[in-house]
Amino acid sequence: MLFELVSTGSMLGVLGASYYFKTNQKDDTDKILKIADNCGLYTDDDELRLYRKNRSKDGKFTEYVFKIPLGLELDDFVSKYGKFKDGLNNTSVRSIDLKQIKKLKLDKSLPKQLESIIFNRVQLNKEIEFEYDGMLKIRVYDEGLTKDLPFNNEMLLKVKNWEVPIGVSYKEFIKHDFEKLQMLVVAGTTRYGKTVFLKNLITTLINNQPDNLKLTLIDLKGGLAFSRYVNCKQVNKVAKNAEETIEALEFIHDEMQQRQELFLTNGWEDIKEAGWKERHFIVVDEGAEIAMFENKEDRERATFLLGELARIGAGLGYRLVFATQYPTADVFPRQVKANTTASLCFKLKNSTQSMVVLDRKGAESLPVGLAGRAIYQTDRDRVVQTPYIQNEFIKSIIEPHIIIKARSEDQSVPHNQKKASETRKYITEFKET
Amino acid sequence: MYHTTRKKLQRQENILLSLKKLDYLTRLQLQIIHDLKSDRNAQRVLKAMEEYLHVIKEGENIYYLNAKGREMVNCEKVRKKLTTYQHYIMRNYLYIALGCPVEWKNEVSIINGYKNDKVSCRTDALIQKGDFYTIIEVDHEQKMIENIKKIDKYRILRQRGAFGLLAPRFVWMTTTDYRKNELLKASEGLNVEVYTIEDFKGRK
Repeated sequence: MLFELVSTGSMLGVLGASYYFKTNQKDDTDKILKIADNCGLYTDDDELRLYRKNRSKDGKFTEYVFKIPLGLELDDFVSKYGKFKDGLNNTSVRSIDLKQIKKLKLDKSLPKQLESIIFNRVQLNKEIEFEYDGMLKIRVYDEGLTKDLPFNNEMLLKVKNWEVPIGVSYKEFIKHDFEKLQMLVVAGTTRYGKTVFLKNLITTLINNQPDNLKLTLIDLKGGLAFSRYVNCKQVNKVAKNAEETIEALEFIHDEMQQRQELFLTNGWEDIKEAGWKERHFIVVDEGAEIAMFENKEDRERATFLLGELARIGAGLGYRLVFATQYPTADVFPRQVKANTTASLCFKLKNSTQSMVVLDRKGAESLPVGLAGRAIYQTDRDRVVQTPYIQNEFIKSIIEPHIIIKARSEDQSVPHNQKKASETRKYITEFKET
Repeated sequence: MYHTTRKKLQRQENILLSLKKLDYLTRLQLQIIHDLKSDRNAQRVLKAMEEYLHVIKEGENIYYLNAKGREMVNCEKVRKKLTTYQHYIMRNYLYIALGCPVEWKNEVSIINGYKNDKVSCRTDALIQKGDFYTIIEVDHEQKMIENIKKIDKYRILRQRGAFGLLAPRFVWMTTTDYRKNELLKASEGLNVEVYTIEDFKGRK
C-alpha cells in the first residue's frame, strides 16, 4: 500500500515537473526558424541553421547563434524585425509561478486556486536584438519594455553625484550624467511625461547633491508644476512669466561673465579644473512660450541669453535643461540645439517633427497613449520608459530641504484684493481668428 | 551636422515660419524679409525647399505651405490655391513697409458692446504696441460702400474708447489712385495713411 502510494506520488511528481518545465521553458528556436523560412530568408540550397543557444547568466535573455546562408546579410534580418517580434509574441502562454504555491489558502477554494496557478496565462512581451560577427546572433529578451516604472528609493540609490535616472530600456537601466553631457533638451507632445521627467530630475538632484546644487526654475505654464519646490533651499528663483524669466536669466548671465573673468585670471579652463563643486541648473519648462513674449526686446533678449548659456555655460558649471513641446527655430535656435549633447524625446505627431527634434524619424511611432515612453538620444538612440514619480514621494524627499523664506514685497498678495470697478460702459475684446 | 547645413536648415525653418504667419508670400517678399540677396540666390533657396511648398506661378512665384511644410512648423491652418491671394500679398507688402513688426497679428476681430448695440469689426491686421493701435486694412476688389461702412464702424469704436486714449492709426492699401482719394475723403478726421500697390511693386 505504502509502496504504491510512494511510487504513484513520485510518478506524479515526475509528470508535474516535466509539465512545469515544458510550460515554463523559454525556447524559441523552432519559431525563429519558421519565421525566417516564411519570410523568405533562405537561398536555393541553404537555410538558417542553429549553431548555439545559451541562456544569459542573469536570466533575462536567450541568445541564439545562427549560421546564415551565403547571399544573405544582417540587414535582411533587421528589416524583418517586426515580423520576428510579433511572431515570437503571437500567443499568450501558460506560466506557472511556483511562488504562488506558498500563498495557497487551505479552504474550500483550494482546487480553484490550484487551477488558477496551473492555467495562469501571461501575455508575452518579448524584445529582440540582432547582431552580426560572422554569425547571426539573435537575443530574445523575455521582458520587453515595462509600461509602468515607479520612481522609488531604490532608483535613487542607483544614481550618484550628478547623474539622473532616465529610465529603463529593455536591456539596462539608463542614467544621464550631467558631468559628461551638460545640456539636455526634452521634447514631446503634451501629456506624455515631460514635466514628470523634470520633477524626477529636480528631486533626484536635490536628494543627491543637496549642498552643491543651485536651481533656477523657469516654468512658463504658470509656475504650477514647480510650485512644490519653491521653498527648497537649493532653489534660487522660480520664474513664472516674461519679466521674471528675463530677470532670472540676466542674473545668471552677469554671474556667468564674472565667473569667466575669474577663471581667466586664475587660468582655469573649466569648472572641473577650478575644483568647484557647485553646479547651477537652469530648468525651463514650456520653453516655446519664450517666443510668445509680448515684448520684442524681451523675446530677443531671452533667446539670446539662453543661447549664451548653451554656448559658454557648460564649461562654467551651468547646466541647461530645456523642455518644450516642439522646438522649432523661433523657439530654439539650431545653434543652441547644436550645443545640446543629449535629448529626450517623447511621442511626436509625425515624422517631420521627429526630424526637427532628433534629425531622424522614429519619435512618431512611439506607442499612442503610453506616457513616459521616449527616445533618449546621445551618441546613439535608445527607447526608454521614464519613471513616474508620485507627489507624495517628492514631498518625502524634499521635506528636509525646505526652508521658509521671507516673501519679498512684490511676491506677497494682499488678502482683500478688490476687483477693478467697471468704469467703462462697453467692454472691448480683441479676438484672433 | 556641419555648420553650413545647420545654417541652411535654420534659414529654411525661418522661411517656413514666416509663411505660417503670413500665409502667402511672393519671392520678392521672402527675399526682403529673409535677406536672400540676389534674385538668383532667392530662387535657388526656394527651389531647394520644394518639398515643403506649393507655388502659384502668376508673373511672380507665390509660395504657400503644403502638408509637409505645415507639419514642419506645426501649422494648423490649411492654405489652398485661392483666387483672393492677391489680398494677402498686398497685406504682406504693408507688413514689410512697416518694418516687419513682431506685434503684427492677422485677422483680428474687435467686438464691442452687447446684443443691440454690439459693434464688431474684422481688421485685416492689427499691431498693438502698448496702448497704441495700428489698424491695417487692405482694399482689393472691395466695394467702396463697404469700405465706407467699415470706416464708420471704426469711428464708433473710437468714440466708445475701444482703442483707449490714443487715436489709432489706420493704414490702408488699395489698388488705384482714384480709390485712394475716395478713402482719404471717407476717413477725414482720422489718423490715416493710404498706399497703393504701385508704391511697392517691383521695388527692393
